[in-house]
Amino acid sequence: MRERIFTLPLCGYAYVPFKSAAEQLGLQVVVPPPITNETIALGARYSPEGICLPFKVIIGNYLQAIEKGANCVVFYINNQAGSRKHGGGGGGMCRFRHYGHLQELVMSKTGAEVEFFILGEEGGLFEQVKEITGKGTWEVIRALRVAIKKLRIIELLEEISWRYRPVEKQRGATTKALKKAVQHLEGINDFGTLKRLDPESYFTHIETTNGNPLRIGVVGEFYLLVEPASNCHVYEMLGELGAEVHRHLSLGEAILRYPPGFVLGKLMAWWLDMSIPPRSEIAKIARPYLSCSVAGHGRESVADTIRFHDAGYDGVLHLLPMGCMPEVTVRPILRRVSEEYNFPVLTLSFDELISEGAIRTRIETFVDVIRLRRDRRGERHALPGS
Amino acid sequence: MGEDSVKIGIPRSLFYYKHPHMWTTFFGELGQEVILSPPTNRQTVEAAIRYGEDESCLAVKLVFGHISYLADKCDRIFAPAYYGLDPGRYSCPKFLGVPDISKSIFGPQLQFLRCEVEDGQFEPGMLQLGRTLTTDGRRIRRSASLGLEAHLRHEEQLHRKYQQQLASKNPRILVIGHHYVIHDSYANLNLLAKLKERGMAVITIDSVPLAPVESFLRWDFAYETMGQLNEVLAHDLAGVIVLSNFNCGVDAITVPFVEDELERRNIPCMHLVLDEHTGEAGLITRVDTFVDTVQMRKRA
Repeated sequence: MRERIFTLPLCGYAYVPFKSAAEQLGLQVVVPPPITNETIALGARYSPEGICLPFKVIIGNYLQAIEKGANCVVFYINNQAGSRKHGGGGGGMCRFRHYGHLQELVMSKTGAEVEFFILGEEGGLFEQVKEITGKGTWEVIRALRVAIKKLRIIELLEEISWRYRPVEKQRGATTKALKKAVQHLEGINDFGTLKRLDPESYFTHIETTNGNPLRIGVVGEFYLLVEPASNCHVYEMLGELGAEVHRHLSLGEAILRYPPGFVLGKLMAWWLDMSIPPRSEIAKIARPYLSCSVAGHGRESVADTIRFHDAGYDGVLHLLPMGCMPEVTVRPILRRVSEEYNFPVLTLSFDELISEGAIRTRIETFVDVIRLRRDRRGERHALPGS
Repeated sequence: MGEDSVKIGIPRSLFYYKHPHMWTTFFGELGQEVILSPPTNRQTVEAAIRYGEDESCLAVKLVFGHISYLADKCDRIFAPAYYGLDPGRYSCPKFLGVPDISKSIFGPQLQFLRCEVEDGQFEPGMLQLGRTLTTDGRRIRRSASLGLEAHLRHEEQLHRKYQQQLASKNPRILVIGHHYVIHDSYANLNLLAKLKERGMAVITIDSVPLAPVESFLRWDFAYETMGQLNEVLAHDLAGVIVLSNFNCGVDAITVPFVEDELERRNIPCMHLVLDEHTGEAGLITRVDTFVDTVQMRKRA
């Protein structure tokens, strides 16, 4: 039997905790090269035409990782989000639920020899990990503990970077600090060190101005929220235009909303220390506009737009891959929310042909509009770079 | 009776094509007046383009075209919530949003009748819905069972049609697609008639009885298609036409598997993607070519 070399789809910084857990469990890992236009074009060439953007990017990731020597793919599908009537989030009714099998079919057509490990498909994520690695329960728990902690720290790093970027004195200082912090974190595999780590400390050296930046909430499809290369780096774009961003879902939060099994769910809730509104509260907030779940995070997008409004944000950005089943469904509903609350919402739809320039123009206009709105209310704001 | 009858509008789109007689019978037996929107026509398509979300599939845009026709002609509009028509499977989530999206488009004054269907269980939803219209429990139960019977008769009729087509001497063409795509003849530019004109025996996938099949597909109608395909592939097919709407989320997953299956069996397959801009001339060219291919293979 040839030696297994694992890879995974790029999804934000998910590769960092994945790599750390896999290597602690004695697996060989190849991380796909960063996503470029070439990756997306490569994936789009082999994928079915009508499938959504994340699928195409993921296929591109696999093909590029295989070039670098990978021969096994690990993919995770959250199957717990089952209940049709009341829940139906996460992998429930949307196309994401079927990604695993379609990936296998598409990859078999490319002629690449690759073995698939689809975690979470039939439940029992923990048992699957034990089976693949051949390690005992305790070792798996220890590795996952470090990985989950890392995931949380990285998410905190991202959040802090969004706060610093609009007020940084020197353009690009925050991006540089974030990159350095993630690199540093990759090397730490000791839980105690991670626990003592203060994420803020990576950024305190950045010189800032005393501004009152605009605040923009980001809602929408999960992959686009998490993977910056797929959304043309809108977070950086917004930050450099002087707006602080906050997204409604991160990788950890998405998993925690629909926990993968009881044990892991509880462990994560305890370690990650995140406050996530329960599903019933989301349903209640969204109810006047959307009475049932429409799969994926559609209902969360509606509810969180309202929550961002109530929290005093200046506007909301709604990201979706073109044709996304849940997010396309809620788009007209968000328009109504926007009108009734008199609250700016910009929807951006991404496919493999999108260009950064087109996105930048629209983002700049959006930021100008909400800045004008704020000026009319007579509030001061920070100009970018001033 | 005592209760006032209300005018109930049923859009002739989406679920209507799946259960054409069930709901009209149910409401009729309850003594309500049913207004069915006319078959898709030019006005419907224009309204669909105007009101529909631009990234939805054509069928979901068309439902708003039909609702715009019904909006001022009836008291309530019927839009059932099909969570799943098979145990443990789901329906397309885009359908579930129809009432809420309609309210966003046409205003919140629009009244909807909902019937929740989970795991293929129609009766509980029907009884609940019936109670909002009348207090006569016996009548509700009777209407529900008559509605379900009407649907069974409709299915039997479809299966008879299937047997007829199998008995035909003409080359058999299987048309795969959602019922609301295959049977909306205005939106699919009369594809079925075009095939018949060219001397083909047309089998529509919804007329095929289902043969159980192992499938990972979680959508009820995608699973159904796979089961029906399993049954129909036992017979000799000259060709298969897959008909889908542009941006159909379900088909993006299902069609590659259907194509893979047909490729392995060496059956010619054409995938036609429709939207509101599809031109008839382009469609005719493709149908002609496909029919020629099928006949050439037969001669060879």
